[in-house]
Amino acid sequence: MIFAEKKLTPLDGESVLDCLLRHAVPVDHSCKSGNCQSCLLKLSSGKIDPGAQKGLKPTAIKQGFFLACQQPCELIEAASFIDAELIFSHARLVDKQFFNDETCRLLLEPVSPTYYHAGQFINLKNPHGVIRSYSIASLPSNDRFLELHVHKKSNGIMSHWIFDEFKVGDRIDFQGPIGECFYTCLSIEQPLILIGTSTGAAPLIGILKDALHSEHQGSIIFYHGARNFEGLYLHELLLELENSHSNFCYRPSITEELTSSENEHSGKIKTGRCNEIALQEMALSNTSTIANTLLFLCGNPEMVNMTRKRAFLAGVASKNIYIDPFEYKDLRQAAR
Amino acid sequence: MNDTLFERIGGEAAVNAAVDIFYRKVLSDDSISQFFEDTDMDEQITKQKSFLTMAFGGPNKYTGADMRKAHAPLVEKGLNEAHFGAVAGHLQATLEELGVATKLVNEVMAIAASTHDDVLGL
Repeated sequence: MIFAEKKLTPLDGESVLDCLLRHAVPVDHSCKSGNCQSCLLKLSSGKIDPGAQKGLKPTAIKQGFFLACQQPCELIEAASFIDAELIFSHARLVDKQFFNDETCRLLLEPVSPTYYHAGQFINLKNPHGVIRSYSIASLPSNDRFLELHVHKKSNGIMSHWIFDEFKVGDRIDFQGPIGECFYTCLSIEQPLILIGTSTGAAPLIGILKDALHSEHQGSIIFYHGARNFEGLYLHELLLELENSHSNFCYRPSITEELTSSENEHSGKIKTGRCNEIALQEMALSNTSTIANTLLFLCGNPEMVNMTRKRAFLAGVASKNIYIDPFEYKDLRQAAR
Repeated sequence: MNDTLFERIGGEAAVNAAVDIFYRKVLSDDSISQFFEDTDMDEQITKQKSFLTMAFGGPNKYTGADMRKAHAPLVEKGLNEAHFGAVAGHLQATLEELGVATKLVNEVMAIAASTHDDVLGL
């Protein structure tokens, strides 16, 4: 395989990304699962595997862009980097607020106007070249800035950088918006079910705001799950939305017990996993409602994939399930 | 009647109507679900659509050799006659659930049966 005019020898069955990294070629990457699109490269000659263009825009496909992490080397004769200006735009950090010790909210002002749907994600690239995906919680028609929620991971080099070093006024490169997990509705009567763990709530609050703004008439249920009460960082906002919209229902749950000082919430907050609670409640709905429901799943990839399958088996149409698994591949390699 | 089976059965719309029902049946069947669980759901749905398109006599790019190669890893995991029969049964049940005429069901089942040796690597 020739990459950027250098000849590289791939191992058997190796992906283009792994081959480049093994040869110490500095190539952008993050999730290594074909979701984040940060490892886009351009084909010069050879054949692209269909799986390496999954989710790409038609214009990107036409230009021969492909996902290096999903592309086997054996099909590629020659490939190269894509001009960074084609991929990255710039934004300025205008505000950083902490919901709690582990979760913060960023407001970014893109230098040039950015067209997006609430629920899509962007990839931030910090000055050290680290790239991570963050979902958009803001609504383009209502909010001036892009709103992101960042969860601090114990070994997360990006989240630590964002918490400790990223300052208001700083500029940052971003790629996107990307993703299909946003509010699109055939009819405003369709029931919506949103299930998210931790900052999986970020795209979901965006989708919820979009649906309410579009005067969605069908029922909307938001299951937010966290480890403890602090992790339900949108509690007040969601309670407020529930009070002001008769078709919206907020169902918070935590996996630990409430502490005695938090016991006043015990009527509202269930103990257990949010997806289990949601699936149990779905099993009680009638089949025609389920068949017509739009389901949005965001957060922990295991939760997302397992819930997707069980919801499908319970009767939700496959085309009606939108997912946004938050992959933390690089973290798993590091000791926790 | 000169129309192809694919046209008579309803073309791509029929594939789209059948895919969820068929895949749900296959996934719910403990005797075969192990062969369908490993890969991600998008990929599986795409595969099932290609399979149904082929079984419905539609345009497809599969040769017998492709079928053989694609199923070889499953044969290694123990794919056998009984599993083939179970999948065929779910296909037939899917078509019946959708109210497809018996004559068309028979034609589809004949195409499915023709893949037998390649799928099982015989």
